[in-house]
Amino acid sequence: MSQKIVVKELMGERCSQRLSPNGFRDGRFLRDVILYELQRNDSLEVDLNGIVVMTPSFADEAFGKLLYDYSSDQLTKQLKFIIGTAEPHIVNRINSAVSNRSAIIEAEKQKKQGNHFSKESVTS
Amino acid sequence: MAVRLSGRLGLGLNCDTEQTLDLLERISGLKEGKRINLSFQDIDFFYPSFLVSFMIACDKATKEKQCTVSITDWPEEPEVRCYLRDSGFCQLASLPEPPQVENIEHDKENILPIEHLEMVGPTFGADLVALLERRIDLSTGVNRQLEECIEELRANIIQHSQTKWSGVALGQDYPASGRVRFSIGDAGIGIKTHLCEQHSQYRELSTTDVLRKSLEQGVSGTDLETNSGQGLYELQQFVELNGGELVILSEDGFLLLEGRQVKEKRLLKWKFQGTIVCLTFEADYGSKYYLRSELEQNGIIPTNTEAGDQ
Repeated sequence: MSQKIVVKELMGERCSQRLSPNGFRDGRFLRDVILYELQRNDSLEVDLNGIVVMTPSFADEAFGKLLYDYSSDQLTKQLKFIIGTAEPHIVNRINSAVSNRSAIIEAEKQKKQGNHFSKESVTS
Repeated sequence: MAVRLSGRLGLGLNCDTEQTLDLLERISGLKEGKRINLSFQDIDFFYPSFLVSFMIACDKATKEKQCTVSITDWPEEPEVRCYLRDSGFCQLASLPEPPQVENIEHDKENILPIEHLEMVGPTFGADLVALLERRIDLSTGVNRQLEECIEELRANIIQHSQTKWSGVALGQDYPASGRVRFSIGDAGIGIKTHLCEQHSQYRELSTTDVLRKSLEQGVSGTDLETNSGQGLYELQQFVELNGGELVILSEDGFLLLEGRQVKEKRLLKWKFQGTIVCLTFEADYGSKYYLRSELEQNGIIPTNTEAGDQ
């Protein structure tokens, strides 16, 4: 079964806050919605039509941190993005967020196992 | 304590920075329950950097130490009084409207009023960039990126300032001088303290060196937040290209950059509890700003034009 989230309907065309004081229209809220839908559906379409602004913080909170619940392979399989009329740099934002968060998670794992990475070695 | 102020109050070049810092020091140093009376009678001009830093210092003194900051005399110039009203300063500071401004209309389109950062709408960054675009020709990509930088700054202040209310911001277009000024500040723990919480290597550096570092790409107060440390860096890149001005006041560090040059780097003998970032953008008629990626998409490799990383 497949479902669709239209980001502009949930967040407006400007996605800026990682965490807002009232928890409304922030990155965490969108991530919660994505996680909720992924639990109930085999696949999920994330429609980015009309999004004009997405800060790095928002992209990390909404998409990067999905990696704490799903592996990269699972997300590639289950999550599809519809770019449409979204500003071109939005795709790069999301890709960078996921890539950097993946590196952070790897560094956290290494730290727990007793191997230490410097910040410079894990961020691109 | 009574203090009489004069001149053009603000932080940066062309401002009476010394008087402003002196006043902030006095307010920050007020003992519990004490009072300071301020005369604004001889003031010619308030820059956004003054109103933002003054608001934060007063809020801290009044709310945490139950001090009283009162204005005994308003500026003599009606235009200056009018600005205090139209910038939103009087309303936010719970002050009465200055006298005899009822019939004076300021050009409110030039002002992005001072406001608490949690209260501003979703187009806050876009509104500031719109002020900028009156003076500077920006491509769509630069427009969006600047908006995202401003929003990133705002988001970081709201998330990390560690105070009950996060911060304030004020923007202003000055058509006569062809400049746009923007100030944003918070009453948090300060940049050095914040960075040192996560990165022990900063503890050995002076506050001004840490402020300089904070403008570098990827420097952020936490290991666990990716893509942080981009807002200030990208804004500084743009200001550098534009030949504008960047001022940071945080704890006991004061840094002033004009374009690429460090004009002033000073360790203060007192601490401002919080951080103020002030940006001045110069009217840059005849130039257009593009992202590298936008040029490259059209087969243009920047060679003779000045270029930052992006």
